[in-house]
Amino acid sequence: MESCAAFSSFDTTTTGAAARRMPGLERLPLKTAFVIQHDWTEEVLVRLSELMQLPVGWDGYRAKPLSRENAVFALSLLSVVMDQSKPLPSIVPTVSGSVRIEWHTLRGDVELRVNRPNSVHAWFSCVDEEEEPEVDLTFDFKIVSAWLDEIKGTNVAIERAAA
Amino acid sequence: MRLRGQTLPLSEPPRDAKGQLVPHDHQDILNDDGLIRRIPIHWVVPDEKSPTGRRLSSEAFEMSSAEMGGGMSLDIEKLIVETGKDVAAHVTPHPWVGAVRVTAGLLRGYALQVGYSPQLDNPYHAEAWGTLSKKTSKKIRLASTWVVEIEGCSLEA
Repeated sequence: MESCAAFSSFDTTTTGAAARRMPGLERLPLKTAFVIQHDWTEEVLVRLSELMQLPVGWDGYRAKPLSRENAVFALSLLSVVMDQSKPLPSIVPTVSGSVRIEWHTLRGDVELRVNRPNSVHAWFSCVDEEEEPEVDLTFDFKIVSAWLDEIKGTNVAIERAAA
Repeated sequence: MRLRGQTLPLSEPPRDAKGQLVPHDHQDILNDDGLIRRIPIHWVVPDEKSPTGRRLSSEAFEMSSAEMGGGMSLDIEKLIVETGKDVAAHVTPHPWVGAVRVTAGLLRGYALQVGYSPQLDNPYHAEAWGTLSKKTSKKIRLASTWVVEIEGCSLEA
């Protein structure tokens, strides 16, 4: 957990405004989860909110919408591995009501498949390395942060944001 | 063979005592048969390495969770063709925006079972079961070809 001040600032400004624009977002129990203080958060919140509102069968079969507990866990995970320097992730729904979080840059790829809270399958590929490690993670995501450091640097979204 | 009054184009797949489909490898699905994976728009992601800047997410070639049956949904191309239906139209009603083809032999080559899984509204439905590593999933994506291409989305990268 970060400081209460940071949390309060987010809670009274960004969350409130975002929740008004994004029906369903208020259902995310952000107050109990973590602190949000970076620019990437609003984009992620919008995406998670969208995925929570998917209809049952959104894949044309029996797919479930993103569950609240998986959304909160994904947001919690991202709050640990993300900072301003990291590339923005893509968040893809799984048919089981969870998400896959993906980063694809010129230097490599990182993918996290959130099966459920504290159950994440992670994969890393970098242009400089032949090995493509795949690991199962629970609550320690330091390795993901390190992977993101390895592939960052050429992300177009970051460069555009900085321009 | 019939499914609730519907004549099935392939022999009945194995089911358990409760009538639930059992993962299997179906003898009537030949290695050269085309299998089509439908793609919803949610599975298109940006990738700087892609020639078009976008590619299919790995989720397009991923097994569902055990509670969802543990398989990957597919359509058997030859069965759609045999009925005279337009394949592209059959596999891309809303919410699908694209579709890709792989062969049954390709999936079997990665130790997946390819079974027949007819649905009430889709007698051409198949499923693949097994364990897919990320590396294998990537190889399948790279070996797939478009049936209905999503504009600006590449299968490469």
